[in-house]
Amino acid sequence: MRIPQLDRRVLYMLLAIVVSIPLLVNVPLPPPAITPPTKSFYETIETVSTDPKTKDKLVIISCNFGSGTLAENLSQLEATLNHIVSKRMKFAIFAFNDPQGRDLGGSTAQRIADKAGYKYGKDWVNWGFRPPQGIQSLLKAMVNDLHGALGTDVKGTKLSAIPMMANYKKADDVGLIIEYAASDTVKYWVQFFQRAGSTPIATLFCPTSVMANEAYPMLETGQLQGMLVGLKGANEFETVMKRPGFATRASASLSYSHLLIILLIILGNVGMIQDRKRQQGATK
Amino acid sequence: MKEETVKLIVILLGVASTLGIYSILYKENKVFRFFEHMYLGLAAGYSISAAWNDILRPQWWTLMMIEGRWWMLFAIPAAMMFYMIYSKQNSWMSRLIFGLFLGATAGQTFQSFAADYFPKFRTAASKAVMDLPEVNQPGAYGLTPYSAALNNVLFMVILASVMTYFFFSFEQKGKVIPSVSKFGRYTLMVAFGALFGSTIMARMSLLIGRMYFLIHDFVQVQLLHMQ
Repeated sequence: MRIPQLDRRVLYMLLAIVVSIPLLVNVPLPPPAITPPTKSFYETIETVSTDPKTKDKLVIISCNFGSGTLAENLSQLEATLNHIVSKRMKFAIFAFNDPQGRDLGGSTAQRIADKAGYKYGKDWVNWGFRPPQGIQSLLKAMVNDLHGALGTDVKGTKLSAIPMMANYKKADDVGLIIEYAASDTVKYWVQFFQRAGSTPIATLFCPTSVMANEAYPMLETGQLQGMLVGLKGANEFETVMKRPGFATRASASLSYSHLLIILLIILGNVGMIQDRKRQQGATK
Repeated sequence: MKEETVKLIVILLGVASTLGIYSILYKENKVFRFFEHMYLGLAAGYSISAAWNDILRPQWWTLMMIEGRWWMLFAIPAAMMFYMIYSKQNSWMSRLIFGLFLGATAGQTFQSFAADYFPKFRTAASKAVMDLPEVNQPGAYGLTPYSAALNNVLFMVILASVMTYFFFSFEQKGKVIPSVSKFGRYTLMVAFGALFGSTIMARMSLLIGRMYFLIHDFVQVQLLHMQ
């Protein structure tokens, strides 16, 4: 049987097997090469957390993803949030593109914060979800008045009544923005918030791998200081942190699935060329 | 109900949903359609709940009804004006509110365009070969000065050739212009290949996430009690 005529369900089955085996048994794989965007991502958090000017400032964890991209965005969030809490930085969860981000980000933060001894309201807060339709206006309003623009946290408590937020009132009190997204929502931070205060705020981006291509120019221009590209980026970050998690375990599945697809593309093209030659031979 | 039981039910529902949705890979079937519609319904319901709990109740209802900011009541007629578009007699009202929002959005677009694209224009225009960033500065990618110079030259050549490819105002004749244009087309194809590769990686990641759920969370943890 030739590849072009192969039932697609056989290919799906092959893919499922190739993806499953590394999840069932430990398949050895060399550690990933740490790419420059991941390296600068890590170094930016290190710099912000140690620089006297920024170490006590707020970190905004912007969770704009849903259950559809859990494998990529959640593994990025877990890896980086572990780094943030290890530096004892205070953070706020926020979502404005997908309401699921509020809960997925909130529950992950709760789990990691509990392990690190963080207290809600003292060390971290969940600002909740705001609609994407008005995000430009909201971000502009947040520049000078975080409390007034956001109003309440996810529990309905006024931000002004949350102890931790007493020190964080405007954009100048924010030291770092990390955007976890399934789309290009980081642009709103860059356009309306990042440079609206007295000093530019370091901005990091954790996109799904399909969205990463559009963001590379922003690294070049300095609009972004680092980026984790999908599951691969999360794996690199876990390697840098020496803290293996889901991304490390999934990286073998990712690599072998890519190998399978490359092999199928080659076989498919060989089959197509043979078919074409056969047809040409028949017409002659 | 015990927390463990609730967790088991949630995981079983997750397993049923995952297998139900993936059943489309075998062939079109009613189980897939059921889970597809269930997902859409859940997503819609979830969004409505989030809109009320996170936006309308704390940002509007509570302020108006409990804190006495009665003027927020005017949000209702303003919102109703959008729906006047369906009335031939009163559609002029919808034009007022649409005009207001169009004006505000247009104003914001100036700012968003400047903040988004001006740094890109500046970087593209100032990519001189010798104007190299410090190795550890953002944008340097940790490149050595020589590799950074090569990177800059490549960038400028590709930028010029891709722009030549998209120059449709005159017929591309002679030897130089079509060759440059062709090179631009090839570099575009390389970029599309990279984009497609990233798409594959994203889709594989989603599959791996679901397989991990089935294998680890369901089989290994729930059935075999492995950690």
